[in-house]
Amino acid sequence: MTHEFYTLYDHMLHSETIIYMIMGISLVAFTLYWFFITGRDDNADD
Amino acid sequence: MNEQIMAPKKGLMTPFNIGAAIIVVAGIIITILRFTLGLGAVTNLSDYYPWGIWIGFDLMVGVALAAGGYVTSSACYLFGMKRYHAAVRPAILTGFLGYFFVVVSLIYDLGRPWRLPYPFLLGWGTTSMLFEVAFCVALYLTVLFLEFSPVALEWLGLKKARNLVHKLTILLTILGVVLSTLHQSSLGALFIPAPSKLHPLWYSEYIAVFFFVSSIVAGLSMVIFEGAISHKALHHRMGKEYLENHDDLTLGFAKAASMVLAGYFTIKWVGVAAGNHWDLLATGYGLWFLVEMFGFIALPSVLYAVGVREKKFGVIKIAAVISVLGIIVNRLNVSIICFNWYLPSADRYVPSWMEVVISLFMVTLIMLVFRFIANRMPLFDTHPDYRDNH
Amino acid sequence: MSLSRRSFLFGLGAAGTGLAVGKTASASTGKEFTGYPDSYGVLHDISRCVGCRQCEGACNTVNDLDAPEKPFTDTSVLDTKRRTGQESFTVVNRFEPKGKRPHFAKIQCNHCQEPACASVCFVRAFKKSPEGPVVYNPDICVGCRYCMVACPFDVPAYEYDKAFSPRVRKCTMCAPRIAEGKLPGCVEACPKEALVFGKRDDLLALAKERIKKHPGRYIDHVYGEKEMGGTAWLYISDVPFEEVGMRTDLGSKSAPALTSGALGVVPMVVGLWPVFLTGMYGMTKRREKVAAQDQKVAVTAAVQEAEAKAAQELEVCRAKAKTDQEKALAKADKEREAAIAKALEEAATKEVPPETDETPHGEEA
Repeated sequence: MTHEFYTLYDHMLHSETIIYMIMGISLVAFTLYWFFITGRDDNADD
Repeated sequence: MNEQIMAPKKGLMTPFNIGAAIIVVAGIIITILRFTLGLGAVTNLSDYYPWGIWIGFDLMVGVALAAGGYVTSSACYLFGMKRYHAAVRPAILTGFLGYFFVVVSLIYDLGRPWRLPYPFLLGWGTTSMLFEVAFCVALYLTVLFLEFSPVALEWLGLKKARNLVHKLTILLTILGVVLSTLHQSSLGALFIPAPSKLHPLWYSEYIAVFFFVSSIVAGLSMVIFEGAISHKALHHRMGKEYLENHDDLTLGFAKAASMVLAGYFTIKWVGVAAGNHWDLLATGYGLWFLVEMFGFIALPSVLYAVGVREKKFGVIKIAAVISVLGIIVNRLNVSIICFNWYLPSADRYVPSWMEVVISLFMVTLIMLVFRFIANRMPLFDTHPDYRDNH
Repeated sequence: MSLSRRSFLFGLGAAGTGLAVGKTASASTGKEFTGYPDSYGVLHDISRCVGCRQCEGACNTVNDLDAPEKPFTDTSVLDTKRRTGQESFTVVNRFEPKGKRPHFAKIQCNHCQEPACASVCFVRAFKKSPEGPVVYNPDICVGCRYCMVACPFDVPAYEYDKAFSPRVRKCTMCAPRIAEGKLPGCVEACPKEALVFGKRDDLLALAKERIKKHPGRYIDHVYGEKEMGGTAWLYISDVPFEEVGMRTDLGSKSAPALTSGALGVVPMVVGLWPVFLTGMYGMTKRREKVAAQDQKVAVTAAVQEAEAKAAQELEVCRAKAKTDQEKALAKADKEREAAIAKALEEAATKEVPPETDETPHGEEA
């Protein structure tokens, strides 16, 4: 984590790759979380 | 010509079919040339203009005009405009075909198209706006395919699969809006790292927002425009629900388009103000900018407004056509006309006739596939088995 | 001798560290990036270039490029302005600034500190190497040519005539030669020492020193120190840079710095758009539910009202029927009484004749 970056490009490549992973995980997690939230609704259909 | 485009039972020798056949034959020949002799043999691309009309028109305009899918489905399912339900299917199909042929065009344009999966498998060039576009377009094409699949599944009689996909409607719609927001805006953001190459009146730190907002205009206008054509040509395929709501939908979308155009007009001026480029308005490019602003943004906005107030559908259709032309003009301005604007005319890019034919080939294929599907699958009508199921 | 002078900075170490160098800041961390330490570059002194094209020739040989139509000794080529191409990684152009002798300027890849080509490449085919050169990997390139769109110096060229293995072509700063400890081809060939190879920091110091040492001779600007975040190639000139075909409107912001704002919005959209949209959907659904409930209530109320009304009407009807009946009965009674009375009266007036009439009755009975 304390790896030193000499260029903004290297820094961005590193941080953006992690951000993309967060985005991917969040889209899946969000869906599942939504089903959890609405799981006991009376009318859980569409 | 509208009546002839998708006219049924008039025999095969309609003017549309003859024209389409010529374009398809020419397109196939040029396709062979392109993939055997290389890009240089068929295009006027140069080292100054690495992107021609296959990117500027087929990709940039294609993606914008395919925005009807997310605009209509979100209006219907998320924003509660249930009466637009009947228009969702044709809009989704147009979106899917639009994106599909964007990818096909990309295969023509890429130097080594068989490496198309590389960005996802090997590359991960996450600092690139194009990586974001590629990821979103790939995912959104999948989403559109799934959103459209109930139509095909109803046609094929696969009830279980159809009902399973139907359950995912809301999820897919939300995902579709997220992905569309991202890549519609990112197409504009492609030019953000090159402020020195795009004319200052078109380059803006807000260019991504401009592209996103104008994609909504494109989506709304295309739904109106296609609705008008389909209404004439495919009337016999339309269900009661579609026909009953058609005028209502046209008015609603026209109202929305008028407002969005007004907002777009405003933020475009903010772009000029932010760059303090008022002096450039007095130049030749400035004049062209004013033509775009007033002729292709303000004018259709006012026409839409008048059309809605007076309930004049002819005026609304004209406004839709001008809006669509405005999107084409804007995307070509950004990617070609106002790109490298400072170069002497000898170094400027003009597409070769073969590039133009390939672009026409793509448009023709979209229309042919649309007609094929509309004449067979329950597109403008719900399948009788599922009438009460939405 | 001249070679050693040309490369006098090759192994000198970081004599110029601590000097002002092109810096790019990250908006997200506030951290400043100064580029790879000890990376190499080339200083091009435009005032010294005589347009002999020997650098072009050397570049052609070193990179195994196709021979051009006209030999490199033919200076008539300089009559037209050229750019870099797939078989020419470097070109020299002649310029005739007003009232001055002809000037010559060499163009090639500037090997940016923060390369636009690398930052826009979606497969990472470009790499800024720690030694300085920006190198290209054709084995992964998809051929989207976004690098060419993004390059502010219009350097990369494409092999449009190749159908199966087209590559982006550009100067490599002779990275393979540098790795062997050799000079870049063009630098080695320059007879006028218009090109000096060395560590970028040292070259920057040298450039500034030259400007200082010859007051009035040079334009007080090192081109490439800050342009687009700084470049490995640096330029000094005795005529304004725009008069030798160089763009002076590029600004100091690098391509990745320009992109970072737009790129930063992406995860915000992914994170918050679904929240907003599910909210919209929830509100829509709730509105529909409330509307449905309201409708239900309204329907029940209407039904109840209707029932009540019906019952009431029935009651009214019944009551009415009753009174009607009574009235009818009363009327009937009255009529009957009247009829009886009338009959009696009639009977009384026809007292006599009925008797005759009645006789047969009695007979019958």
